[in-house]
Amino acid sequence: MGEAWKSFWMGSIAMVIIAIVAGVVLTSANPDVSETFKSSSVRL
Amino acid sequence: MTGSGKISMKSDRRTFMRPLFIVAGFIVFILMLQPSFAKDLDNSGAPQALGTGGQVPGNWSGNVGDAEIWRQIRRGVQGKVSIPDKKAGTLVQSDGDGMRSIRNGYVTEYGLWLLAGMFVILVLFYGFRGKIMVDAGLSGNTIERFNVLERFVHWLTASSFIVLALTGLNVMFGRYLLPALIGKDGFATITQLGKLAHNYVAFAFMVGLILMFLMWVRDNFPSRIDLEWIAQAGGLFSKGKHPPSERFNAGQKLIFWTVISGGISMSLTGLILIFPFALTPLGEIVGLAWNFGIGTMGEITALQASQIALLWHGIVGLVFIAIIIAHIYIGSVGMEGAIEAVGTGQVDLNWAKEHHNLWVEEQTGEKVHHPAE
Repeated sequence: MGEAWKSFWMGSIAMVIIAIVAGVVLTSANPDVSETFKSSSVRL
Repeated sequence: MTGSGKISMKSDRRTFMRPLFIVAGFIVFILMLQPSFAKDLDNSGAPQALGTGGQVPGNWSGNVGDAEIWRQIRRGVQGKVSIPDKKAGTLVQSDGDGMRSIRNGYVTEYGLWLLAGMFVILVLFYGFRGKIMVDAGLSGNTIERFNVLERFVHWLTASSFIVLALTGLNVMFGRYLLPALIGKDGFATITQLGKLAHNYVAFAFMVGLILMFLMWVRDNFPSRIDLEWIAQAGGLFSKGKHPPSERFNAGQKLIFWTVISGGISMSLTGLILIFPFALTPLGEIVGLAWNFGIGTMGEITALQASQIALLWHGIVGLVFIAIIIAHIYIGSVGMEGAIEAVGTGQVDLNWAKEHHNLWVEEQTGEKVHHPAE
């Protein structure tokens, strides 16, 4: 069954990889909440 | 016999409805964006005091009452603020209560009926029709229906959809069921993780959607043959009836365009929800539609746009899930020989002749007579 459904596993693994990449990009792009609300933070 | 699986598109294929379909789809898309529940917030009706920076509300003699000012503030008027974050100019938006009551009331209730109703319909259909078998029986010979790339793209999109659907359904309905089962802390953890999964897997879904469109759009334009297929209801309700079909029958074409239009719709509103005040296409679209005399709103605030996006995302998501449940049914339990198309990619030749006779003729170059005849 594994050979027959290789495309299913490939698709699912690709989904996980894309999701992880998206997560890393989004997380690094957005400032941490604690940084945003620090009194010394100047929000521009 | 194993076919090449590749379609050779004939130049004389009748696709006279193609431009009409595209224009109609665009018009329907614009009309679908018509919001009917939101109030028209016209900032020009605000008291003068609100619109002029630095002026004392009510002037020096207090002839503009505070009540009117606060009434406008409560309705969500966006005042002027000196800090860079202009969103802070909107202190209160009572429309949000209306949106919330619609979302937690009508949408939740009718959405549940929709999903439950779909399950009931499918159970009844299975009871009435049973599993749709290959009339002539499986031949043991196969023909390639989908190659590795096609199956990969299908599963990338499908797996993403499943994750998005489950996490999305948890956002809509989870609170009514899960806390009693796994406790409030457990529900909070699952929902937190589910929200992150929903946001990140959405990008995998969008990638799959684009690839699927590029891959299959040319085989999914409507044609005259689809009319005959629809007239016979695809042979779904009568045994032994097999209307003619090309690579994709009318039902499959409907699924394709549902996935594409629904997917684009979900992607756009979803992106607005991930970046609520950075992406404001809804404001432009609603404004554009309003300028053409469509809809009841002119300017909408970013907050209103987010609320509209949230409602739209939920409603379309529920309809989308209901339709895909039917797709999953007919592609697995409901029909013998169907699941292999996206599993191994090789389908039984008799199955192909019964359900996609014109496609088999293209592949093999031989006239197909229904094997059961």
